Amino acid sequence: MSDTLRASNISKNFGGVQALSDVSLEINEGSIVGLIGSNGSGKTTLVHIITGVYQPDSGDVFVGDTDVTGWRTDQIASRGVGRTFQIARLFNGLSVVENVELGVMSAPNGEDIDSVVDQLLKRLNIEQWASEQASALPYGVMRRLEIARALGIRPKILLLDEPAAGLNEEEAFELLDIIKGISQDPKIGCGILIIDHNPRLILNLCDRIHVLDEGETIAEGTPEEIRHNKKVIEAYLGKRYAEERSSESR
Amino acid sequence: MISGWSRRRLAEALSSWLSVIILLALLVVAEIIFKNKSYTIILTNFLIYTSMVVSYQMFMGNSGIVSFGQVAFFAVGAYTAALLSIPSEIKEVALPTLTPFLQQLQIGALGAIFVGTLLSGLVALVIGIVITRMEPDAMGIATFALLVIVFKVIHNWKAVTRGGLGLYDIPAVMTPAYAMIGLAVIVGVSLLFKASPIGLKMQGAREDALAAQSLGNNLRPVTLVCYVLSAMVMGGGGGMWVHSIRAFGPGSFFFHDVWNMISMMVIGGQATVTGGIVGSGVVTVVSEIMRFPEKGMVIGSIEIPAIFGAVQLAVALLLLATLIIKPSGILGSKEIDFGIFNWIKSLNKRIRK
Repeated sequence: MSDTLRASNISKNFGGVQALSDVSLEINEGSIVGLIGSNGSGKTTLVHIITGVYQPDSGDVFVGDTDVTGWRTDQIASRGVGRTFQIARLFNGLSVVENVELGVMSAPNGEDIDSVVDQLLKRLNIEQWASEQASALPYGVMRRLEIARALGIRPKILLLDEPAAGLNEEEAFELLDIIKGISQDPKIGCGILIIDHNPRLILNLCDRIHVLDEGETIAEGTPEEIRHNKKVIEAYLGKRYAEERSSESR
Repeated sequence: MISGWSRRRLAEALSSWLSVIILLALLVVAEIIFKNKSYTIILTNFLIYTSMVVSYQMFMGNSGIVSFGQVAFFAVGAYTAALLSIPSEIKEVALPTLTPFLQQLQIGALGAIFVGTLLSGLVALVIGIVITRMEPDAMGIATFALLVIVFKVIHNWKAVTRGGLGLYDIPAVMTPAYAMIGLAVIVGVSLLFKASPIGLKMQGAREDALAAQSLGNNLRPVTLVCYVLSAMVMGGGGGMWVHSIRAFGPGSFFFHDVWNMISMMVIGGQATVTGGIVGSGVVTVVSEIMRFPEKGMVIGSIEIPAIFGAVQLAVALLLLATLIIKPSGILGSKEIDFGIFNWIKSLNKRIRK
């Protein structure tokens, strides 16, 4: 179980606002875990804690057998935890190739950097943008570039914070296929945590789903279990989703 | 390939470096052909000033951190090189309380510049260990404090620096050709640094520190290396400079020089190494033109009175115009590059045919 990320009983309070209460989560190699919840439910806070941007008030984060709680962001990344951000944070003054190079060169393993960068650009289908400056890219390409850059560090665990936000339905499902491909590729073989607001996307993509509401875990299980979970329907999926589902089943 | 290095980036750096050498060589060849004294002085000053700007770009351009203190390392390099190459008999008279060892020590310009380079790096390392722990904005202010400290030390450490009187009789061995070689080395080091893994990490941190950290980059040592290297190159520039001017004092290392360097770098394009060369060239030409109105001039029957500060005013207006019209500077993010490798490739193809 060396390529597992485990966050146990994480709590975080911001000036009296309880952002997370006793949240636990596990991501294994090759699996895709979904993290859903309404705005302000604590999803991004959890990712920030896992990656060392924030320190938890209580709880532990383990990468494999190593306790990385309290470690710096770069140290956790060096342990193989890659991530993207809710609002794409690219190196805007650098080219697409340089953005990906920065990821690849952080995890040197003797491979030829230029060819690894080319492979990643192809995988994310953005090779035609290679020489463009990152700030000049269309939004959909920016989101893909961020994933390519994160894959550059050869992550064991990849945390994707709303990768499909701002994309249209077609672009979002195209991205979904790419993410599926990444998780199934034995050469990459990383576990993925994906945050998104689109229940259809998450329910179609993930092996397991974790649902947060006001900083607390309200459900955890397979997509099928989440679909039928009353608490989730009330708090997140909503009545309309339940009605749509019952009419579909009829 | 060395771990972490990109062939593509190295090739771009080399191509750009060769292009710069061609440009600089043309300027020096013109000096050799025309043998005009004014041109020789202007060209030597331009080449040395440009080495300062390129050294400055190495830190500020790559890190995005505004540093007011790099001139302090220019001063360390300048004083060290001067103290080592001024003839012993002059030092005995000018610096009677100097340590006998230093008084008697006299080495060639090249050795003196080298020692000045190393000492600047050592000073930067000691200071850098402290200030690279700061947030970028705080670090910028701290570098300003460093400039003031070094200025005051030079002013008051009379046994070594002669204070406000300054040092004199430094062998003026710096010809335009030597200055060009010095600048070519500095540009080469800067381009190589920019293309290196640590250079790219620094540029990543400049664009977005958290994103750079999330890729596993520990930014503190990266910033420290960048700071020390820039200081060393700056110190080397200081050593070159003193060997072109014979005499200097502490007034040469203060805010006026910081202002000039920042202007040149921003006008040329601070994200690029060769932007410093372009910026320095533009400011040099504008400054030389504006010296006429600064002195006062007569055009036909019209007498124009001297406009004091015309040079600085023109440079300030040029800087403002750049910031308004093209904030990324004349070169933007592209280095000077004549595509020399493409020429060689196509020439090779033609020969084979």
